[in-house]
Amino acid sequence: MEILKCKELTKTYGTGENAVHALDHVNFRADSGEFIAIVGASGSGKSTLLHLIGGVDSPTSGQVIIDGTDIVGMPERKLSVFRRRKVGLIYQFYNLIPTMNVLENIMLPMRLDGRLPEKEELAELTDTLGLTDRLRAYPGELSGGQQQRVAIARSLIYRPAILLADEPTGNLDRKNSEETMALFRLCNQKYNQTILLITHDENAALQAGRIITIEDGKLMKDEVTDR
Amino acid sequence: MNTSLTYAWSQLKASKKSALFLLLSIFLSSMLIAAVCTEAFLGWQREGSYLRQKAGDYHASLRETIPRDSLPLIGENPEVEAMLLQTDWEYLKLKDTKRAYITISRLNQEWWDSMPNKSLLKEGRIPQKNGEIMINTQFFTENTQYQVGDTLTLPAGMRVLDGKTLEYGTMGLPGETFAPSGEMKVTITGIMDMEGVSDYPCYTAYGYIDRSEPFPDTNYKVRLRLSHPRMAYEIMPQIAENLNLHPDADGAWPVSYHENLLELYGIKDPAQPESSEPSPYLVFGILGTLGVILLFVIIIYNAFSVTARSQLRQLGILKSIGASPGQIRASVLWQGLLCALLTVPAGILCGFFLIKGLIWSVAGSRTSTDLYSGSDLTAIPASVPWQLLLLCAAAAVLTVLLSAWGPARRLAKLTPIEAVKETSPAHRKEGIKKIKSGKIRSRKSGAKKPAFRKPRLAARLFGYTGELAENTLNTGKKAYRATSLCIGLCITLMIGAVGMLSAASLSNRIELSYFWQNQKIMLSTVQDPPQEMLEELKNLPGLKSQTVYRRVLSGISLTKEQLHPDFISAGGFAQESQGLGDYYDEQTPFLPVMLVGLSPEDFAAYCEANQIPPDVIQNIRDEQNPSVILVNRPDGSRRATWDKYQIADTPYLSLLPGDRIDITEKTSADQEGADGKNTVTIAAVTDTYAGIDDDAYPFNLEILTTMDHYRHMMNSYTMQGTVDQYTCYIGQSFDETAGLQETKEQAEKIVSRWYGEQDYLVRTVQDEHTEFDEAINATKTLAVIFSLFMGVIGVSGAFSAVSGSIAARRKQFVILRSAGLSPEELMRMFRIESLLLILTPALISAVLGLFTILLSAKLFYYPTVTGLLASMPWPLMLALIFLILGSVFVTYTLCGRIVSREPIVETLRKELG
Repeated sequence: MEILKCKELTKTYGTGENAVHALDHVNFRADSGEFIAIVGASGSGKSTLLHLIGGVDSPTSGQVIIDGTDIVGMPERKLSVFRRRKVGLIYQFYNLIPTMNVLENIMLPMRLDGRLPEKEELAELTDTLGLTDRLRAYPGELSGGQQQRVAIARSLIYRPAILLADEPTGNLDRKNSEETMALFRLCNQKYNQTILLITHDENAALQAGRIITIEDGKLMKDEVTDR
Repeated sequence: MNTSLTYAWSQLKASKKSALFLLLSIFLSSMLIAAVCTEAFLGWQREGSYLRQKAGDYHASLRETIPRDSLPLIGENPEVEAMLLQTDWEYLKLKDTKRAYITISRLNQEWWDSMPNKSLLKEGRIPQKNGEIMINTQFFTENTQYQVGDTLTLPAGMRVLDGKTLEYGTMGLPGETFAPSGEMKVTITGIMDMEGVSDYPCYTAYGYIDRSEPFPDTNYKVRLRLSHPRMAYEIMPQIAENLNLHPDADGAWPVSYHENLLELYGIKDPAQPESSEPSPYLVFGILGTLGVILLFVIIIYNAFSVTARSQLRQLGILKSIGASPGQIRASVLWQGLLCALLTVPAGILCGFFLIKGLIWSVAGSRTSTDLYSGSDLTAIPASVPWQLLLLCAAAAVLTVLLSAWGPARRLAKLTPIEAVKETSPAHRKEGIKKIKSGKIRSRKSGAKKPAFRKPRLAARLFGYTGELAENTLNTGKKAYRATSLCIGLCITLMIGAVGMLSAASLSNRIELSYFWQNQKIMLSTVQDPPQEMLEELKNLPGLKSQTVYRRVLSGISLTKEQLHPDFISAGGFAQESQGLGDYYDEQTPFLPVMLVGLSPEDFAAYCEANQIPPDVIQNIRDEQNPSVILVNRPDGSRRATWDKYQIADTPYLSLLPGDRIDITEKTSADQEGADGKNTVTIAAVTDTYAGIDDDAYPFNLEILTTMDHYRHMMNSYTMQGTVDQYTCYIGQSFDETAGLQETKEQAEKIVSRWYGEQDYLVRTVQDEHTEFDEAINATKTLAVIFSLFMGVIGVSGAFSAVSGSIAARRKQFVILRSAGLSPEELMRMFRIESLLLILTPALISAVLGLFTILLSAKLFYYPTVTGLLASMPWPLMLALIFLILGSVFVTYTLCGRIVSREPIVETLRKELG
């Protein structure tokens, strides 16, 4: 089932001779449950694509249709609800709220909706991510790998349609990187999460079912892997 | 708990330094708002309390006395809440007493309850039945055979002179007699704390009108308290009409209103639209509060901007995971509200107690002070209504919300990725502006950035570390805005306010130094002061001159032709710059006249000094043809007042010796009830003042005569009882060797041997200046306190901004160090940055402050700029200013020391994530 479609997606900074085309008429689609790696050189437009799909940036032109809804041009209030419920965004530098503890960070998307998660669901999530005994700790007291797991838990609390990860292992050592990738595979298999993952790590990319290569804002290659 | 609230609370706990600045600013703003509102309210209450205490709790009175039989027409009127009655004054003839009479007026219960008479009671009790009286102290001190409880039966009647009844308050006049009309039995129940001057032949007493008995058959003075005071101006004319009273030629009913009290309640005379101004207390309260709100919105807005900016990334994260714009706004607003919750109640209470404390410390517990119009401060309620405090709290919270709204709204508008990457549209716009202006070109276009920029002032003065300091300061400019503003305000206020107040004080001192007389003795006596006493006073050390005189303000009505052409050419009444000349009509001028009666010796000396021929002097003394000397100069041209009023020293009137003029009891053309008049001949015209100082108004006229003539002229004035007309002045001028405090004590010692304590008063210019300075110093203290508050806010803001800014730029400093900048050079950079930070506000505010000083010197006429600068308390002010500026420097040094000692690699690792 198609979960994501990008049509003629373009993002341009500046105007005239100073214009920079971060994304140039990108067309792209993904089905539900796909694990897609996005690779490319620095400045190629990978992160821009991810941010546009996640609704945290707005395109110059084009469409982003997620689960049947075009989010381009959506009013900010509706878009924020969309970000809460439909998309999970994971950054390279975790981007946790340093003044909230692990549990508060994980529950943040639901709390923004004025809701609390079911205890069983929350317990299952934190168990799966190995965070059960660190719920009262603050981000400053966690290792890099633990912080990334908190960021993953936060992105999964609402069981979003799509999980977007922007170089999630870029700041981790090998062991934590492997563990993080294992978590992504688990989410993909257990929750049928559609995952778009930006990575420079070839090994990490090969763990995805599909690799998309972006260069100078254009989609150059789209290949299925042997996984 | 609401997510925005949770986030806000966690942020406040985590960033205590920036929260401290916010907390302090909010505390101070709420304290000032409460102080302003409390002072406005208490001032309003004080005035109301004073008016009711001193002038009575009533709304209006009838100017004509009402016969007994007409009283029910008033009392039964449903609009009348209370009818206060006082009978006409009667005299009771005494025997074997120092003074000849008791003068008595009887009051009903409503009058006793509402008017200040009862506060005169010193001992005993106030009358409660017919026949009971309360009488003044002197009755007992001058006649020791009497005491409280005594009953006297005395002839009742009136004092008469030449067939005319003498009015209440008339001094003892030669030839007066007593015309009895009956008898009165009185019982003394109380002693009144009230003294009459020695020349007044009566002891004053108040009696009681018992409503259970028939009212005395006499006329009554009536005052009314109305059920609906807002309708006072409609009801009173109706009451007057019902009593068959008649309006005057202008249609005005014989009704007086307790205008001051009515205006305090916002009740204005609709016939006088020019009086429809709002209460000054209300204006002060509203404008003062708005001023505080505006000032602190500016200060706290910048603090919020810095705080919000430091949370940009986190708020971006919240946005990226689904926080709506409203939730982002709420996160910032909640931070402000939480700070307000913690500090506003404390600030409100402190503001309230600050004003209470200031009132008590400045005015003390004196029951009478010029500063507070003689109100009894002990009567002021201890509290203000809770509604007022709530209003103050609401205003303080509004200040916080207004301050936070802008930054909150801006943040809510950012896209999540801009916030996460900590790049705002403002930055991008700035970048595009630089692109368009050609300062920076995009790499893509191939153009190159200029290799070197021109070195700026800091670089030229301090080298490369100066350039680094200036660059880093410029990038963090916004963070320091609040600090710069507060420091600038502190310095400007301190210099400017202190300068202006010093100018007022110096101006007063200089003005007083121009006076001819630096000591004045006032005697309440109709008789001439004893010659022996005058001779003793002349022997006071340092005395240069002494003038004995009486004086009363009168008036003269002239025609336009009687104004001198030179006076008209110089500008006439328009010469006066403050607009006081607008009260004079050049077509039909009515001038206030200071009618002065000089002692024989002083009159002779004046005539000799002005070469007035002996025959003229003889004429002046002619009782059949009273004459006067016209001092033909407007009062405002005197040296003491010239700087203030700038009136040209020209002849004033075109009158000549031999002209006849009418000197009236009226001091203004529309004054009612002062019908006395004397027609006199001008015996001589001079241009020299008699060397006496009195309240000078620019267009008063001085007319001199002998003291005997003066007394004779007073007989025609209807207000014969006015003590002022019968006051004798002894004006003395001492040289610089005399200490005025000593001369005052010596003069008092001499005078007290002839006069009772209640009959004289000695005042020096030093007394005038001291009282003026007390008021000035109180205001100066407030101004310095307020400027110090601003300084404290500035310093705390500096601490917050500087430490926050240095922490935020840690990566930058550690990279500089890794590139080779030594710790000492880094510290030097911080010190230069601190100097650059404080220099701009210090210079601007110093210039503004000095400008205020120049303006003050111009406004207050007398002081020169150099004189004013010399009179200001520079050591204290400079010490405070350097303390405040130094605090910023110390903050930089302390924070810089921490940063300069951090290990490079670990810091880099931490900062780079």
